[in-house]
Amino acid sequence: MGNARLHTGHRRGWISLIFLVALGTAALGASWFAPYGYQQQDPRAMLLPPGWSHLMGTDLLGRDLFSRMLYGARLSLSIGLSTALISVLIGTVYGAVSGYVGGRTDNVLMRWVEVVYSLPDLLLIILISVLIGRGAIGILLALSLVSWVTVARVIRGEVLKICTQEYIVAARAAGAPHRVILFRHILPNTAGPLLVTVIYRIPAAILAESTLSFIGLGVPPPFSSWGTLANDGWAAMKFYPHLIIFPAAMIFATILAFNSLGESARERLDPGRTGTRRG
Amino acid sequence: MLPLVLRRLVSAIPTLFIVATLSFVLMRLVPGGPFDREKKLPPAIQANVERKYHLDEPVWKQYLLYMGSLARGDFGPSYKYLGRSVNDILREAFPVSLQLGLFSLVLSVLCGVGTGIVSAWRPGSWLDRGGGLFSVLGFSLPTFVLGSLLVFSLADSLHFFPPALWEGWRFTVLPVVTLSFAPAAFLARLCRASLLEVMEKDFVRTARAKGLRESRVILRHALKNALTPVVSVVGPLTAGLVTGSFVVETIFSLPGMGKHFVTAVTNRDYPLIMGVTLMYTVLIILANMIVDLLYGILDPRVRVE
Amino acid sequence: MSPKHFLIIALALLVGCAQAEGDRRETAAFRMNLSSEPPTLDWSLATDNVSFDVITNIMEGLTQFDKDLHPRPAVAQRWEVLDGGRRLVFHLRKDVRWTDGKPVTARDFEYSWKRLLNPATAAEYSYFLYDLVNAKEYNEGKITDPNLVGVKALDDFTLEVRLIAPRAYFPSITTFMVTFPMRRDIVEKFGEQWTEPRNMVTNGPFRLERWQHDYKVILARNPSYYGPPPALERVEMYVVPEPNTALTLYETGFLEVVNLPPLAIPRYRGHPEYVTAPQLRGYYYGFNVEKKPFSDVRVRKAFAMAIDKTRLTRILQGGEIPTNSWVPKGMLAYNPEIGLRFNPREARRLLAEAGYPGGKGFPRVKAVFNSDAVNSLVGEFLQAQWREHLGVSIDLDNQEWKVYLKNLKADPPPLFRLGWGADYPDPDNFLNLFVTGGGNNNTKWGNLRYDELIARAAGEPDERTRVDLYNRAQKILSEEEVPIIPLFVAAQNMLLKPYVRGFEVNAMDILYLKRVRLADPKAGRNGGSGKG
Repeated sequence: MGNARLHTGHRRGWISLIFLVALGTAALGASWFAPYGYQQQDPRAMLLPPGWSHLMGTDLLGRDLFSRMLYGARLSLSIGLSTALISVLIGTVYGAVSGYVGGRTDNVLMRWVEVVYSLPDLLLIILISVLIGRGAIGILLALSLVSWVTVARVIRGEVLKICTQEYIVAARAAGAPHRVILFRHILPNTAGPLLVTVIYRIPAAILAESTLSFIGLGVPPPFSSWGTLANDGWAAMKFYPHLIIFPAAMIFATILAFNSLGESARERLDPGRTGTRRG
Repeated sequence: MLPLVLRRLVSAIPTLFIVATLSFVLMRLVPGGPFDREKKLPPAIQANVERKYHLDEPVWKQYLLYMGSLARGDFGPSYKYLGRSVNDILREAFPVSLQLGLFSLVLSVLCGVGTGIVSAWRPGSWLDRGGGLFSVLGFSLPTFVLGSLLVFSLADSLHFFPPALWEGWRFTVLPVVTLSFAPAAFLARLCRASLLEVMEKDFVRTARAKGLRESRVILRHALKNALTPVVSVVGPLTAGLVTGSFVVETIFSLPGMGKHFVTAVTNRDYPLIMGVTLMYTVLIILANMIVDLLYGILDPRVRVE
Repeated sequence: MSPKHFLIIALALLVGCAQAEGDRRETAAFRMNLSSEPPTLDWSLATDNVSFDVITNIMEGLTQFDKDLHPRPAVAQRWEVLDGGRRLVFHLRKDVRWTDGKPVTARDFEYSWKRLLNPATAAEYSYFLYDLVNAKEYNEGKITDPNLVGVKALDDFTLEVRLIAPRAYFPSITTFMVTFPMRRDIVEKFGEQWTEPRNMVTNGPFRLERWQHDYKVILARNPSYYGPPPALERVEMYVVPEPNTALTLYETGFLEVVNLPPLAIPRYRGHPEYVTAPQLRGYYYGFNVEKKPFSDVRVRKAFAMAIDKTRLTRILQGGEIPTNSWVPKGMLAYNPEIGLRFNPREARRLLAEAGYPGGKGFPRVKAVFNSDAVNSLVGEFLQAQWREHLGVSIDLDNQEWKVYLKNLKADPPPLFRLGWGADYPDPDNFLNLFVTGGGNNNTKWGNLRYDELIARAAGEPDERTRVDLYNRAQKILSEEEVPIIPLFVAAQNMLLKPYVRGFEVNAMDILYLKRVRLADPKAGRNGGSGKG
């Protein structure tokens, strides 16, 4: 029954993939593709609406928004992706171990998650900025440090549930090595929620970076990122809507693409979705 | 169930202690003090101020003093709002955030789980796609943009709702919707993914094979099992929502406690930082405890020790 | 509850509140916003503008500024300057009452001033009264007897003040909130709670009726006020930190006055409700003159002359006034003739002379500022200007506010941004900033000639001689030595509903509401504001 559905799913997957590859290429090659420099100011072209010479218009200093978006993509995409990956990696392992081992270990590990949740993350972020300076690495580290805990909670909950299923209980009774049980049998079954969490982390990190720039940890001016562009654009929202529309639309389109790509990839990799179930 | 609750309450004490200690250390490591101003104070005046708040004592002594008063339930005086105690500030701000947070929680869970169910019902249908689009929008639209969009459309142009302030229930609608949007979107995706996962399981297939209606299969059999990840997220989400949001409170000028999480840090108002942090910790601990209890209710075989 | 039910309820909510509008006014209330919660209403402890806006409307001191910022009698009916300016005797009006009916006496002033100076009060603005004999010593703990301080109530209505030296500006100081009288019995009875509405006793045109923390402050007309009763029955001040939110509240009829966010100014310029006025607040970039390459005065001059400030203020759009000299427009001794003008050719010549022709070999230096939208714009603009006119690349670094202040204190960066707002409308307040070793002089620059001119001017009674002294000092500061680059003087930009009368804007940004009245708000609403 699902063939037509599957096809549209795959088509969207392909479109998304092409979009993301194009975006990545444009970001990496921003210095070739961008019609202007990210810090090139034109006093005669302040706050222009979108037009032929400036596709997305210009900002207060007469800088080309399209070019700044391209340069910003490099930073925002790498921050979004790496933060998502790092926090998912740490969170998954941590959560899986906690849920699988259970008992005292679980208790201690989860109490530590509560501690990390509760610590004032702004303080942490300011401290990191002071200690290791600014730029992509500091931002990455700061965001990853505070965001893996959500992943850990989700995975641990899933693992707790899956551990009670007959086939796991049976495998454990049969003396299968823990590593095999955990990575072969349990984690693949958490793929759905895990994927959602990863995809949610990407925009969360991109947007969090805009908050960071507000307190001084974000990318230093005159560099741009989507987060800072969105933040600046918001203040001008009522008067120069193009300054917010383009950053917001780009973040939206990118996340939409990641989402579709993720779902169609999962449909491919996990035939169980349409056919037989794997144990 | 009761032993779990008791054990958690006991283990809350070391958790709180660790959070308080680490926060204290963090606060003092971060450069800049509460009385650093654009116009620098003459050293003698700076000394007067520091003496008043015991900031001239060695740090270990300040720590002991602080932990001592904390043990008595006293968060100390605010360094920014002179003459007000942190206890007073929290007492006044928390009810506002609690009210907003609970409304938002209900709204986001209803919308999120609802959308999730509708999407999982017929994956790939236009309803599912619509739900997907809504969710991605929810993920990727910054809260400040969403809030302002709502204000421009529903308050500024159409005059349906007041644009800001806190004078009655009509004033809660826009902030609650703004607060709920992103969590609802996240919950919707999570719920859908988890439901789809569960729908492939044997017991659901059995139920289907028995010829039960699809709606019954989903609501009676699959949903309960699929709610685990939702519940995992709802715990911390609740703690987050009821302690308020800096962005929403700023955009809508609400007297909640969310802004203190940011302004207390930027003001270096040490006692207030500590106050909001520990309050959040308590709520996180409570929320996680309830989540762990719910795991057991959703699936009686799951037992958290 | 099914989704369907939910939808129905949501629709019902929508219909039910289709009538949300701001102006449901029964009484003549004036509504405005505060940019934050007032940190305190205790005028010995308050240091910020928000607290100030509330306190100046519920309290009155010895003197009060008129529209042109000249101190005029308030609680003091008149004063005598004796002993060559070292002794002032203030004669108080006898008809001034506190809100509980008791008369305001000289003893209330004496108590307040000694409380301000008491080290245990830990008042940050205690230095405002350091001109009094023994005030500094008492505040610093060098003497412990408050009776040695140069303030004394000779009787109920006569206050004697002894100064360490003649201070021409002293009657301006007594307009400031930290010098307002205070009731010993109230403060001692209620402790830190004395500023809560149920306890507070004041003497101004309004009294504090309600203070809902973090949300709003409500003032009501004070029936026992000695002067003509204010026209407004109530003043409602809402805490609205976000300027765009405040603007929306104004546009939807929830506020009578609002400060405009910069980006909104072009849209409202020329609008009948738009009001603009200069503000005594300067914005500058400072050099750390001990750090290379800015230890060379030619480099400092080159940097100062390579900035097209007119263009900068056009970008900022806030009505800022570009300036080359430091004393702001609207103050005595303001002199636009002084200062280095925009001259890229001369700038390049000076830079070449200093050893960096065309910017070659110029070291990488950092310009540091605190994170803020305007500061970023200014930084990015300056960076581009110096690249364009001097061929020099500067790195920008923005830091969180308190981190920034800490760094300024510990080790000022080679280039840094700061601002200064007037405490009192006198050039002394601006120029005193850069004396050798001054607490707020982060440039590390010092010049004995300059110090001497500033010291002489402070005690000089003749206005023309003073201006002359300040001119000479300003020449040293912004033409010869250039430890700072003054960029612009800020402006106030606001919208005011057309039915508001008597709202006066002054350069000190002091808000006096006692003469404000509302011309029949209904008529004004229909005729003016455009929006229903």
